Amino acid sequence: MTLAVHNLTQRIGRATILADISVEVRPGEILGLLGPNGAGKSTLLGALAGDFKPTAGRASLDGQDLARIDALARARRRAVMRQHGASAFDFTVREIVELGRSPWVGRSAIADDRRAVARALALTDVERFADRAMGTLSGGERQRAQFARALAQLDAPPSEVSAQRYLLLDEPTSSLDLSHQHALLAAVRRLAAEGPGVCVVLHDLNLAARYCDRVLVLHQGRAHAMGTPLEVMTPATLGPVYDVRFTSVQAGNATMLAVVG
Amino acid sequence: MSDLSIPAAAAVPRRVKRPLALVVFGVALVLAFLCAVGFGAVRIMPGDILAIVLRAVDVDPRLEAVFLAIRLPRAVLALVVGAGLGIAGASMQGLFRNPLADPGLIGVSAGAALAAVAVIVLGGSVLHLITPAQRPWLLPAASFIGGLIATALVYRMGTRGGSTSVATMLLAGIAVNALCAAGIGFLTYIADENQLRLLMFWTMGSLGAASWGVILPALPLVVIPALLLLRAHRALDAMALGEREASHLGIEVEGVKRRIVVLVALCVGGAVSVSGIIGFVGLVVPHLVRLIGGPRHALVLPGAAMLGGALMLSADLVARLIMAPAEMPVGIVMAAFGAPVFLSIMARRHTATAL
Repeated sequence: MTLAVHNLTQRIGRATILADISVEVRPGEILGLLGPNGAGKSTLLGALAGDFKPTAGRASLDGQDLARIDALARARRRAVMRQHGASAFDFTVREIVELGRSPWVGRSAIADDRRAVARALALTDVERFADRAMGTLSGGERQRAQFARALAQLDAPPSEVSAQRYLLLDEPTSSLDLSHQHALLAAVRRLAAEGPGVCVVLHDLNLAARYCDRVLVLHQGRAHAMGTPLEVMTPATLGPVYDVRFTSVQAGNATMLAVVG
Repeated sequence: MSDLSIPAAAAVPRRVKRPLALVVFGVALVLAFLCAVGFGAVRIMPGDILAIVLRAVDVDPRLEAVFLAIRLPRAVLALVVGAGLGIAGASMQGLFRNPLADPGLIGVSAGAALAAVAVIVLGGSVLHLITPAQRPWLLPAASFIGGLIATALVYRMGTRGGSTSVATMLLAGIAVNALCAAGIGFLTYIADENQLRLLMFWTMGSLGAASWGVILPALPLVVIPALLLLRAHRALDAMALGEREASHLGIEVEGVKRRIVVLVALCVGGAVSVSGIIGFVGLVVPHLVRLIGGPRHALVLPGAAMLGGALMLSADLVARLIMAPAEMPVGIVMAAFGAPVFLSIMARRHTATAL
């Protein structure tokens, strides 16, 4: 019962974006995708979302080919938050979050929809400006609103809670201030504790070390290393990938990576 | 919070709630309809209409004839064409994720008009191929196919790798419009006297041809796709976030896109076949609806239909009265009103976000 890709290769034209990747997102865990720009992180997240047909290999949900599951059924099993979430018309934050309920139309009571939206607005600290137009918000506030939409989508009605759900996040903290970065990932942590599996692309290594159960390090489309942050996030493993020199720094009881030179 | 230059109170958009907004649009539509059937060389008051409808015995037969044979078909035509163009515009804008997309601007109307003009000028040679019963359908069918080809062409040009570039699409629309204008120009050049009079009507847009015989075949062609488009509101809301996002929310994006393109081409083709090219309705009306009630398509689609009908009824009234007893093509009235609104939308968007 997992969301997984098996020996996945993705080519666009002649460029190989991902080469022979196998990874699964397990229920209740946070899997981090790390790697420099162009390593293939967003493409892998897209493959897990079922956005495109793999060039080779397959993506599956509970053993079933993702490509064979229709969009609506997929939408009831996983929510996706991509970078650059912008809307064409001036929706309010609440309207954007309500869009997260659209896969559940007809399956979920209106009262349940309302509760799910209210919960998502509260969890992401966007209640205060829920009735403002998205266009008037800062980048970070918009990002939190998009996160709230994903949470609202994941909030299954009582009749459907038995199925395993997944949350896919592409750099969800890129526009957030420090406290909201931690607030968002803590919310993800609490969500995972209730059962859903999470896959998150992160650029901040220290955030990844702190919140992820496992990390997959991608380098030029290949799986460079996979394991717990403690195993993988060492100066020796990450140095060649990011092409910088790291050193481990003890800060309190946490080990952090710092760039030297 | 400190990065906001807009005071929070001003940033909360003032919106009329959906039920109230629909009532307001409905009232506007009824008023416009009553004015459209009421004003002209003969005044027909709402009381007279009631008497005619209830088949009262003391009705002036001249009044009844004017109402039933002239005013009513024309008002119904204006209502249906306006509603169809309004909802087609709203759907197009939702599909292209841009409030500037309009069936007229991107060439759908021109494609439909070119096909209709071709039927008028060259149709004599194919008329013997079809039965007389099929003849009323020839023009609407040709308009639909012309509109569909233009839409497909513009859409194909504007879409690369699954994402639609609005700038490319608008440019492709300019090219399609120019190409269709060239085609219409050529057909005009080879047309005879009788055909020329008809062509004037096509290219400027007019409701002057309204008679039950002309409009009845075209009505279902506009009304049915318009009703089907109403059901796309959830998909269009999701599409506003982007095509990938819409698919993440469970929308079968490719199917929805194809369906909307075909329905819009039907709607616009049907409207063009009976009224010629009338621009700006599809552009201005959805914009007004969003301004009043917000961007959700559960309001924008029916609202654009209602307000589109009301606007077209009003514009046609102006077209009939301004130079009475002569009448102006309604397309000219609509362009005179719509083009400045279009410019103001562009100016506003320029300051808010990029195209």
